[in-house]
Amino acid sequence: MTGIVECKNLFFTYKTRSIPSIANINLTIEAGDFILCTGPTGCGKSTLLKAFNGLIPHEISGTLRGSVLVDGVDSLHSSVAELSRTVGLMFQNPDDQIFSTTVADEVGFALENMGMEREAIRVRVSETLGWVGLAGREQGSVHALSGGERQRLALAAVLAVRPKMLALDEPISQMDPRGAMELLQVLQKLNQELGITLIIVEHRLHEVMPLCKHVLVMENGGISWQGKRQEAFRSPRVFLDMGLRIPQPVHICHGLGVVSQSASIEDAVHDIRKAYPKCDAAVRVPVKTIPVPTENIAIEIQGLDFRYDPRGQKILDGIHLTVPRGQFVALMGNNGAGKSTLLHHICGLQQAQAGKVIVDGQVVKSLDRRVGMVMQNPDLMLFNSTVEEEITFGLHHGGRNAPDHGEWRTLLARIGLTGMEDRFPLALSQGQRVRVAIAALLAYKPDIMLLDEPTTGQDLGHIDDIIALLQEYTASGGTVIFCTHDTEVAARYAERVVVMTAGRIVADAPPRDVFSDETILHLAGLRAPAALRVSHELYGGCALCVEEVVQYVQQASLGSNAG
Amino acid sequence: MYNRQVWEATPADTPVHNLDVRTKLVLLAAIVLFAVGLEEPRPLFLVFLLSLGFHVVARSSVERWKILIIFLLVGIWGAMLSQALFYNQEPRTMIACLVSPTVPWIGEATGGIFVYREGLEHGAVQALRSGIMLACGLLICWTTDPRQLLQCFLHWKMPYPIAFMLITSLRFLPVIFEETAIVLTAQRLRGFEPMRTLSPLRWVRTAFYVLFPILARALRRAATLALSVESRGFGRCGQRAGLTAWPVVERFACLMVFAGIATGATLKMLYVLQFNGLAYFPELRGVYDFMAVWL
Repeated sequence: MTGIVECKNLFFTYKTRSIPSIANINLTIEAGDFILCTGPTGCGKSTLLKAFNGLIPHEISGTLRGSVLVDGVDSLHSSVAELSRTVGLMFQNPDDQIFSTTVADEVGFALENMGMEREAIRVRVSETLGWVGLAGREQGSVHALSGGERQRLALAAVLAVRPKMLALDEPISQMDPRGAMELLQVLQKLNQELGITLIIVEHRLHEVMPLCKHVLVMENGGISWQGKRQEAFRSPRVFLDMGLRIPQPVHICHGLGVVSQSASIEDAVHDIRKAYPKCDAAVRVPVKTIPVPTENIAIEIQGLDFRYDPRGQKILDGIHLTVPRGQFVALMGNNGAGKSTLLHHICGLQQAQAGKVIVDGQVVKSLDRRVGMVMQNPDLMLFNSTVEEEITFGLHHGGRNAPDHGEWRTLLARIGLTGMEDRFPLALSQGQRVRVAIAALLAYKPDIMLLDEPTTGQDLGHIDDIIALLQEYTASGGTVIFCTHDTEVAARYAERVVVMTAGRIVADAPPRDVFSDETILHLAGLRAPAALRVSHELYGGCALCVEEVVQYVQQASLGSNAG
Repeated sequence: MYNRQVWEATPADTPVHNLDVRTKLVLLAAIVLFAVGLEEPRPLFLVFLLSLGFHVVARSSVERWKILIIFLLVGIWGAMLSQALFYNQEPRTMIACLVSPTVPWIGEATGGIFVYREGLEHGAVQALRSGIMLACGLLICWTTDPRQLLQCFLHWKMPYPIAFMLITSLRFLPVIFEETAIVLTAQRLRGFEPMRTLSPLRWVRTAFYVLFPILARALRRAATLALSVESRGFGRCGQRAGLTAWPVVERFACLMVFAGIATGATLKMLYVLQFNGLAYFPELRGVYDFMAVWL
């Protein structure tokens, strides 16, 4: 059978490298398929996508062996412009690809390059915007769109030429859960209703896997596993061994030795009940309440208000928060909720317009050296020429209790970067760059650490490494506040979850309380971790992680949970 | 925090925004030529006011006016001060003495530092010229879609790599400003206070510290943008939709402006010939008078 894309014995080696980034790829993508392509960082996923629309070899220098047939045409004998009419390619960050100032101009750009008539472009642009949920926004400014809307605009810009296939490179990796869900719903609709073939490279398997038809796993440039989605659910070990995060219902089933058929909670509960009929004895786990701390306070925020524009909306609205020393706090909420602005106030980057921020008993009036902050984009925090210089930077610039020689090496080992001391930090992978930024700050030994989305783009193993490092820091008296959209990470690791929406704190409680409260979750655009929902359906529980559900069910089946 | 949107082109329904991109570029070129050709402060000042008037018509935001005013003031101050102090043409009239030649070291080494009236005037002319170019250049950046600029340059047969580099730099300049601010903040967060020193060595090191991440990000970003536009069928080859028809009125206006500039250049040439005693036409006496005062 002929597919839309056929790769035969495909190898590609970048000009600057000695070993191929993709090796011996034999792959046929059928029309109408929806493929999730995943694998560890640097395994060749993005390189493979670029071969589908001719960027490799026409625009990216290197050596290509084998062939890529796109709709029956050898990519070597066709231009990128022609191949792009069959395969549209979309990149991770919409801000790096949006080129115009108005929505209509951005979507019409590809059509103009095709030489289409103006009136036909206008009609096509409107129709395409309708597909991605941006109908009527033609004349709007691209700057007025939210992050999720900009990503859908980037999708529309590719979709406008009506490609038979869309290749998407980590389209949801930087998005909040609501934006990601909106984009995935659009993609599913395009696949189901318009028959557009999709291939998505993504690390957030737990969100994409339930929607796709096939899964492709790459490792060291080659395809190490491929199969239908249902087969992937039955083979979780493939993903877990690579540190990839699978949907929690599948993970729970795997932990209980139950063969999973889907990622849905209902199916998982049904399958587990069949295998463990005794597990429905409802025992409510007692909820810990957080007492309001009165001593040993690290951060105290009183009635904090802030707005960027004096006539605009409040970004922070009457924030009251007290955090004792040694606490590990997750700050959650959708984009624009005010999380980053709150962190900026705590470290003194921004000053309170009303109310005050007190750190270790002193009102914050300017940048506070007792507080360290890792920004969302690690690239902008790395400015030395080697990893070693980056981590020991604090030693030479007045670091507070900066580490000695041995200490920084231990730190390096803890983040899995031993042997990379002499590497240029900005040439490392995204995950490695985040870890270097965190280690560089930990080396500085601040009293309080603020982290903005530290787990974005990290696989499971590295999330564990980062959290272990931070937990060790809190155990030694440090205080951590981290912003995250990832409810699974917050539920599993945080002692306390603070939820913000529209500049206000709407919940401040232990994760078990927050994630059991549907009203709060709905208000903040969050979803409870699947493990909690499985435990709720299965035994009326509110487990926070996979291991908790597995342990409970196993003990219940042995009768040890009774009474 | 830093708002990069102040620097980016934003769509709006104003006469300036609605002008065809070709008209804007032609008018920019005409105004630049005019400003370079003029030597009298009064007409230059009028053109300068006209360039600011375009910003009023384009309804530039308060933030943009602030940026414009800061740049203009810095430019005017810098040009006038430097010319006032270092003007070396004759005749020159000393209007103030800042450092007497008898002052040890500086006075003796420099022969005294004075403020010259002719230097101030010359500086004002230079400042007005650069102010006109700055105001018009920013107006185009703030009111024109970079994609349209790119199409226009290619339509005018500018080589693709140059056109793309030009527009990419324009597109990413606001982002680079924003990221520079973030990098400086990040350095402060890590205990590095580059601005709290007078050591030139430390400033140089700071420059490298800032450049590393900015350049790395800019390169990544530019590569992604290039791949993205190539993937949308834009490249060195292939049939491309032409720009929308250039409105006849605007085209006619551009022709008239250039005809006016050509006339002005011719008259100026005649004036220069007359001024140097090479050619004198009595019937053009009125023109000579006008040229002497205005152009």
